[in-house]
Amino acid sequence: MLADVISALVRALSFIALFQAAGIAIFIAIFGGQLELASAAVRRLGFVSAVAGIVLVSAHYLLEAARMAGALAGVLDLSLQQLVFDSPMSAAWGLRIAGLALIAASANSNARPWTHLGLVGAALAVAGFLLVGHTAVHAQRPWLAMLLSLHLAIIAFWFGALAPLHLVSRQERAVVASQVVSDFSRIAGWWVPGILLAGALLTVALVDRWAVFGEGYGLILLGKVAAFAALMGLAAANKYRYTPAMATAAGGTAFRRAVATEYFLICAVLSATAVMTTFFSPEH
Amino acid sequence: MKMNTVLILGTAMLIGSGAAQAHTHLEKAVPADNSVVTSPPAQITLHFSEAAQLTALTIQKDGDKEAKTIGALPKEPAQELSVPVAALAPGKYLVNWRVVSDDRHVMSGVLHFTVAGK
Repeated sequence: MLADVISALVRALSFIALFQAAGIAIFIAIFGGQLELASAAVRRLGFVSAVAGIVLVSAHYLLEAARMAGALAGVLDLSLQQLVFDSPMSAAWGLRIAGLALIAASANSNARPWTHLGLVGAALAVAGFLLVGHTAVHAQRPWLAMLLSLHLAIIAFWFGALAPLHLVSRQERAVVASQVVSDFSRIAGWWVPGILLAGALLTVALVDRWAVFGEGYGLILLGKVAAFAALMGLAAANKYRYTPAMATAAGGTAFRRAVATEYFLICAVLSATAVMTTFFSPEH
Repeated sequence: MKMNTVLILGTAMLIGSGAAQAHTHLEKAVPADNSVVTSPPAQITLHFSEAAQLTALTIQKDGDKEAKTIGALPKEPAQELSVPVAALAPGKYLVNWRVVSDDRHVMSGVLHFTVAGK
């Protein structure tokens, strides 16, 4: 049980670091050209997130053998590590590490080739999720892979932008900060609802009985939906109330507080996803 | 445009559709869960709905501080997995098992059974 708990915790942290890093790569690709004073800080955060992601993703990979053994000592069991290596988990690990390494390298500069490198890294890191889990073994794998790609890419875009927006709000001139936040809100307004749409379609495909919603997997899923609804409310408040007032000191503080709340709420959702996919499945 | 780049690269990982693999679950165990057996079992047998790889199997007698690993585990995945067990004294036992199913999901479970005294 301890091995499972630690594995789930490390998995949650790896999700947070990976989506933060991937999201910053996307943020820089879209908004990097508008940044003046916050550019270095955002790229530094991207680098740190990517390195943390490499460590945590690797730790989670190693812990899978411990889960198989039911004890942390299983990490040292070469036969179990061989089982993990022979599974799709190793390819998923490889993609995620390659993606995070590219993101870390791309944090070097704002120049276009580097931002493109970061985008490729973000895509690889997200693509790692397509090789494992229930969608990877489903009969409708191609469709589910597209839905999952959409779901995860938008999550990376949204979650990964929050910390940079916080930095932008603090470090950039008011006119620059307002423009970046406004541009982000405009793009997010179109794409973020896609998280719920893709998630709903994935649920329809993976869940074949109503009883699931009274079990662990389904209850966590419903919790995620509730959290998404709360996040939409926060996002709306950000867009219509805090963003227009960003030019003032009080407005900037309120914006940053709302962004921080969004950030921690999404961290909670990512953690719930780690627990859900570690301990439960839609089938039992 | 740039978001589309991310999405296109992500979906580029698709390599055809794979056959569906159902989640395995324990269908039957010998000794059965919560059973009372009159003689010590020579082996623990687990029968799953789909082939699974047994990765851990331990047994703990009621009152013992630690569980003990049961024998050498089968190296290949199978629907029915049997592992020999050393002679068990009368008492209550808890068996912990872990398997990896075809879809690489780690699953675990417990069995309780009692070896009746003479």
